[in-house]
Amino acid sequence: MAFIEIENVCFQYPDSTDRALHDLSLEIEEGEFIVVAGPSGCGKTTFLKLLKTELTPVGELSGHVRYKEKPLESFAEKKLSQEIGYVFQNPENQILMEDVLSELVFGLENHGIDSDEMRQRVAEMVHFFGLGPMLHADTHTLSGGQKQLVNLASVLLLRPKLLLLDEPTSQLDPLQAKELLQFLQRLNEEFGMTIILVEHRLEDVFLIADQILLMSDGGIEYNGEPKSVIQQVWLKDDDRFLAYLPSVSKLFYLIEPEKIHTGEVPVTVKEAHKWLKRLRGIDGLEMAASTEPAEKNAVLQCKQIHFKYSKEGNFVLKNLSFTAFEGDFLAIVGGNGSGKSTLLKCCTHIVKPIKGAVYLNHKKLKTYKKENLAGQMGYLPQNPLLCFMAETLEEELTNLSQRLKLTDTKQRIDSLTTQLGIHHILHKHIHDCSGGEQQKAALALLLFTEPRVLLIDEPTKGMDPVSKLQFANLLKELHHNGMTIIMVTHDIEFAANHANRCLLLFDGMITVDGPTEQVLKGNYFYTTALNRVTRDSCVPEVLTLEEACRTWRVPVQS
Amino acid sequence: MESSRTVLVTSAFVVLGLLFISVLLFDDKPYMIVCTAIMGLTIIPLFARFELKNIQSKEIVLLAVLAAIAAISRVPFAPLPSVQPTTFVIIVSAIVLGPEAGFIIGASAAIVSNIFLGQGPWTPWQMYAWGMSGMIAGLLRHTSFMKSRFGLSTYGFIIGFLFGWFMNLWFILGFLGDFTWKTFVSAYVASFYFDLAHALSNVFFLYLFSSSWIHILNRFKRKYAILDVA
Amino acid sequence: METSLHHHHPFINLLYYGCVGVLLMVFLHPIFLLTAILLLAMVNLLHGNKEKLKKSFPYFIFMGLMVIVLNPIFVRKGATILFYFRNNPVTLEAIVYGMVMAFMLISILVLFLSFNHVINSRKFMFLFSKVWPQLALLLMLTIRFVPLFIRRWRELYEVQKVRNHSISQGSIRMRASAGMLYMQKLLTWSLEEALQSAESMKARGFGLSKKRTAYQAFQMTRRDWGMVVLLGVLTVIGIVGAKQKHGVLPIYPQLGSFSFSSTDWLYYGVFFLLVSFPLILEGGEQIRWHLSK
Repeated sequence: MAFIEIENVCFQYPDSTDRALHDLSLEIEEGEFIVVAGPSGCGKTTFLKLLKTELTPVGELSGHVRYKEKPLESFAEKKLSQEIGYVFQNPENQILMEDVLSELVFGLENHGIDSDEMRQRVAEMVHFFGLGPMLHADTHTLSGGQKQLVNLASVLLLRPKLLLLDEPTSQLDPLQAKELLQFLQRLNEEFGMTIILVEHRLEDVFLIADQILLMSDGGIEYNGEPKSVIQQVWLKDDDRFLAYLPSVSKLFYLIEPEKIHTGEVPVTVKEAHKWLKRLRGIDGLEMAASTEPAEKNAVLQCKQIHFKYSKEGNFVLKNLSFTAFEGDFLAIVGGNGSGKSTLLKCCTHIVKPIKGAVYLNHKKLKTYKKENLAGQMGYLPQNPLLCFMAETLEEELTNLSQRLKLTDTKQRIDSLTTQLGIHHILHKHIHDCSGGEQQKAALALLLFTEPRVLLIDEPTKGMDPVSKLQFANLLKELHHNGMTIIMVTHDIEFAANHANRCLLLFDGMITVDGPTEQVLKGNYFYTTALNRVTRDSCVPEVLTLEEACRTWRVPVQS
Repeated sequence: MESSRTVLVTSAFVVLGLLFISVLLFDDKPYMIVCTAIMGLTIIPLFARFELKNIQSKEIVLLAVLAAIAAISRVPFAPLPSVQPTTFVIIVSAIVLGPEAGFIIGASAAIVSNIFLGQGPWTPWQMYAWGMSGMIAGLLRHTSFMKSRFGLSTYGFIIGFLFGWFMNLWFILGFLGDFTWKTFVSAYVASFYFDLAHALSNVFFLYLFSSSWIHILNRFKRKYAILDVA
Repeated sequence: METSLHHHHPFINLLYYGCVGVLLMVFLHPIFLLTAILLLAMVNLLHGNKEKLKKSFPYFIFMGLMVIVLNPIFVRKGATILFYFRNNPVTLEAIVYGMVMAFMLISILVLFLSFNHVINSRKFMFLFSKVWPQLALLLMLTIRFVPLFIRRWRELYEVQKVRNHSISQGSIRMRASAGMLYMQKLLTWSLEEALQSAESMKARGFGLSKKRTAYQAFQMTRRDWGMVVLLGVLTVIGIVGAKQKHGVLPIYPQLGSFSFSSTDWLYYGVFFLLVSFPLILEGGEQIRWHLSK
């Protein structure tokens, strides 16, 4: 007698030849917390929307979806609309009203609930989420995390029994994402709410989830308790999902492969600490110190720059200096409001420092002609679509070529798109391309002018682990070919795995600058999970799994 | 349809009330009464019609996006006097979505942009002027005249002048004493260059950008799976 | 700054502006209107609207001057001919009429300055939704989109600046074209994103019930109703008086006397009371605050 039963569900969009979902079967008990993951286009969203009838797309549906043992169609629309709540991915798009209070009551007003009851429900909810101070604020002044909390609260005011969330944390920074997940955990534990959450950052939800679903190509590939799913994926050595596993679990299987069948596997830092305590006899290999070339050529330099947005405001950047050398893959990390994006804006000449100057190839940025600067510097924003003014990649490239007065346009386009593997999307509407394709297309625009340095803003936001890996490989190849890359990121794991130098930005100043390994190993919070596990333990300290594989001498166990 | 009747009755009373007040207040200025009455009699039934419609979420969102685009498009062109693509946005929206949507988008753009720029006695006049620019474009959209780029640009040119002339009215009728047609015309000569700038910028935008905007709007009309709105 | 008027029900706010607006249009007498300009300027100062007032006042004066100059040129009524301008008579009456009209225009503009401060978009929408709820909803969505689109515009501007696709250089034609391309991009982008906004409306039950209810953010108290009566009565007295030509300067065909009869003074008092309503409210609040301490 399951709360939700899904039986042999198939779904096909009208103008598509492939099924978006095929033969999906699943049972969900009341009060369970289900986490769904999988690459983009695997049918996760379609699956969620089948449960929310108002959003069910047009298409051919077969099989049965039962809610409380009755088919969904047999319920009154209004009842279902209240009992099943849905939170979307983008915090911004869901907000419809100017101020927080109107946004909260939007659903209640739609359902014709009277004013007194609204007041009561809102009072409760505001208390639970601590929204009091921002109740009368304008919604556009809130941070992404606050917006998403308002969205969640607005849905919860309808008192749903089942909550569906489609990647609600993907646009948030790690701290805000954690806060949202904590609220979900409380809803599940304190109120017994049934939750289905689509999420990429599995490390954060392995402990909360009762059941994990891994989907691919419209079907469920793995389904079960978190630890058993980890075990199954590892056993099958499944490339599609290996990237989703927590690094500590992978380390465990690498060191103690024989334990795979016991079912025990650490997923958190705490569990991993326990496991490492009883591990003996791992030494570090003596690594030859890599020889750095003595003289390196500076490509981009910030010399004592100061910046603030308004005359009365505080300095966002204070006396900040750093140098990016030729061939650097530089990661700039730091918390919210530390000035990361502003620094990138200074480097790209979007804003001009009040004091100090930025140099490109030893020349001040402001001495460059605009079209020359555009050719020398590639800037990839968080949203790659912003690079496109035209509808297709080809049109955009041709326009760009005209603007910068380049020759041999056709040839350049062909070689570049072939290199990036996006030749087939040249004539496709850019909004109809997948997220990964859009990012590659934007990269093609930047590389078109053969810049010396790439500046990238938060490239991994909202990406699933596999796309992240693909994107990293692309960057690595560019870096290998001599490109200097400067990247601003919240994603410590990504920085640790791929950047060779790391800067820590705090309060508008660079507090640490050095090789990634050195900088992150010196940090307590701002470091990888593996580092937190291996620090002060009886095994050599490492940052990444790859480093462990490379530097640890693991005794062969009898 | 109880609610529909209430709305209609209310609207009728509001129109009557407006007429009554104007007679009471402006008994020595018949032009003002006639103008207010015409505006009221045109706007109110159109608003009432929109009010009665069982509107879908996609439709109302589409209208809101276009009205917001029309309203903020005054911002980036602020340095250029009398040049603003608001009229252009309203006209192309009406061509794609029909006369009523054109009216609603025009009137909403006027209210919303004034919420940010400041309401004044000019607000109802702007609502009417922009609403009508959209509505007339929508009514004529299937004619071969409006389908040609030349015809559309001509429409923009004429609207540029009519808009300016109409907006002069609230000032002339409200604050100048009675006058002859001759002086009326000479008052319009004064605003000629501003109106010309508006008319020419309409022509410029419509001639160069109408086809790509209409293409985009048609694409989304399909994507939103809606027919004519409102 | 929020004054006592701000804290009253939006309907009271609207009624105040409506009543004052009507009386400004009926009491066509320079002394009435000058008094109103002064009082309304004080109301604005009370709001802390000093900067706005200082910035807009030159424009108001300019518009007023235009009315004063244009009236005698266009209007040939009046008995007292002062001189001839291009063979047309310019009369004293027309000039005085122009001045009265100019004062009326300025007072209305100053009134709207206060209106824009007190009736913020939220109150405006509250009032609007009482009459036309669906249209109000459309306007609310639009108002919410405006800051969002402006932010998107800025993001787009920054990224395209790096890509040497700027709108701040070149001829007017080039800048207008570039600006239009930005708008076009903003349109495509926003329409794409807004699909999710529509889904979000639907997911929270929009269109399911015939009747939407409205959260009552503002409630009328008995004191508010008292004020409605007060404002209404004052206005009706004013209109009736003005209809009997009290507080109205006789201009055409021949300019009358500026002096007030005792009845005129009575109506002046009524007018003064109504226009200074926000000042009286604020004063009352201050007194009550001090007494309660």
